[in-house]
Amino acid sequence: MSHARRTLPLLAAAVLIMSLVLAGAVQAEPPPSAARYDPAAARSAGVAVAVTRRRIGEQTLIDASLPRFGSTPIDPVSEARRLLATSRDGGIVATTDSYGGRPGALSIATADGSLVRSELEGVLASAVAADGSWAATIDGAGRMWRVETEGGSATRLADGPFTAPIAFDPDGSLLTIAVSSVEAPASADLARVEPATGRVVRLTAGELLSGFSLLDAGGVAYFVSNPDGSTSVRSLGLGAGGEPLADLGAAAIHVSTSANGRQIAFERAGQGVFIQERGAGAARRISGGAIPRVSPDGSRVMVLAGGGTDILDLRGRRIAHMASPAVAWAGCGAGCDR
Amino acid sequence: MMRSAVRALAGAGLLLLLGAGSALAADDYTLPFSNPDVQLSYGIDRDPTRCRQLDWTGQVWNDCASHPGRAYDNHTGIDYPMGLQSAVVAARDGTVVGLFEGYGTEEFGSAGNYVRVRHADGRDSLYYHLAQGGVLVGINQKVYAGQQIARSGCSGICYGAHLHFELDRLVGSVWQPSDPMAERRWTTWPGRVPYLASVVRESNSGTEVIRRYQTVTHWVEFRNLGGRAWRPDISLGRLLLVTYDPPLHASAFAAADWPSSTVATPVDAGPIGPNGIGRYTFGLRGGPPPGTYRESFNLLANSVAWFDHGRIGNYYVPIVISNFSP
Ligand SMILES: [Zn+2]
Repeated sequence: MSHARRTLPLLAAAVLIMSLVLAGAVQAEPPPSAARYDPAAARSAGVAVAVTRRRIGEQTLIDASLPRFGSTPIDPVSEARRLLATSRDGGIVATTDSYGGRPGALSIATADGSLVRSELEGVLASAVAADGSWAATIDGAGRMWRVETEGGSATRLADGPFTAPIAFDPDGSLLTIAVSSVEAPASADLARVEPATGRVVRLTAGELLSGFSLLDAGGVAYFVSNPDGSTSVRSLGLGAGGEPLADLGAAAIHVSTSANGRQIAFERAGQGVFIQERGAGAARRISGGAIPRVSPDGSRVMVLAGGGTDILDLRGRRIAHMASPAVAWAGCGAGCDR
Repeated sequence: MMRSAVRALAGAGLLLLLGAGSALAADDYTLPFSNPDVQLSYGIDRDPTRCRQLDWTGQVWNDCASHPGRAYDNHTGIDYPMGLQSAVVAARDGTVVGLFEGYGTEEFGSAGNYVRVRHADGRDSLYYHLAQGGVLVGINQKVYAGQQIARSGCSGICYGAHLHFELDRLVGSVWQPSDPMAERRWTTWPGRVPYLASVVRESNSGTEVIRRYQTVTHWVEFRNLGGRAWRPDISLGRLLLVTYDPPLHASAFAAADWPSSTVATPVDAGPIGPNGIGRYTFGLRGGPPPGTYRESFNLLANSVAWFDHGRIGNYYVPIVISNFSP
């Protein structure tokens, strides 16, 4: 009898301790650590990002020289994707140590050579805010972070899961792709995320998006993987929602569009780079290579080739070649640099 | 041997974990590959809350860590590590309703190559991270449980070659992942490949001595080590004993009871469920000149899924043909 009386408070204490331990475990997720480097420190630590701006006709290119981490051989496709985003003027670039690596840091480099690094659980996509003060970033688990350009500290914006790409709308909200699962995106919708509140609004439903690009007129062109394995381009916000822009046929990947949505470049696995011009008949192959990206004015296409970057006109004639695969059109949102 | 003992122990542990009185297996799905050595790396997290996980055994983890053999946070499917280009098979009969195959075999990206199959119970099975050119089926194609539909890869968001298998069902108007392990949709724990067999015994200790131009009756029994039932009639699960090495060669020993020159016989009776023993009885005719021969056979399911011939000891019948003496 007295034994039972003694046991109950002990049990209660044990339950209390257990629940405290469990509560602690739930919150046992420290914020990503951050570091700031001035130009000299970035160079001596081997993390410096060197950026060169180049003119190609009316267009500006950002040509980045990215630091190497580890001894893994350079795969041009992964290298190209390490350059995640640039600010409109190209003065700020967001990069990652290894695209798809986990864990992997986000680096935000400014024009003076200084740099901040945020240690995230891998990085899938990033976009630089119009005022350059922060970068919206999706980590390897699909969570969205606000990473400050000054100091590199990261705060969680939304749980997601989201996947690449991510872009700032002209009104300052974020567009990205909300998925059922990062690893297996059985559903993938265009979504708008309010940076102030983290509120997520899905703009499409029941389609399987592989990407999108922002259009000048305030619309969005988005790329849909159809059940039969083909890819379609549709637009949102230019009149009727989901208006079809183009059908790209089977196994089209790495789609990009010009700012008016008229020129569409894509890669067909193993077959090279194709251009589809709206209202100009079927898609035509213009070159080999990978990951084509149309310039905002639609006059040029950059393509990964020969371990670097080729700049082509729309007929596939080579205008320039750069040794680096990490090149982007300046003034592009996520749409044309992915 | 060592390995199978360890596996048996692991299986016993899992059964203990479940409790002996738990519900019987639904037995309507099998593992989505044919190599029985493939092991689970991570199962589904059935709790949608961040940093809280409910794994397939029913254990709750109040953390965001990965737990090998169980789950990782917010995982929607089941991961099976396997070499690139391994056979991926349909987990149940169904119809292909979706696929994508634009990505490189190991191309990291936000999508990847996949196949989606719709089943009679309204669920869709999904097979992710497939190899480039690894989708072997077309849209609207009917597929059988155990039929190879793809080759594995590491396309999409993939850290190390594996198959991500997912079983989704409609909840309202939203497809949501279900957990075939927690629901015991497999035949046995932690699962069986669709088709696997071992030789049990054989008439005349295996060897047939036949007088030239005469026919003898031979039979062999196989144990069903797979997850699907064997049936003799023309229906799903039809099991045939067929010439092998090379597959489907016309046999010089085909007797009058053979359905064709390449098919010795369907399983004698059925259905033969998992762990059951199926007998195959067929004639052998002494057609060739006197001498010593061997004829190889393998099991073939639904006319598409070959059994692992090595696992049935590269099965063949030694045949001695003696002189004809009327
Ligand atoms: Zn998985």
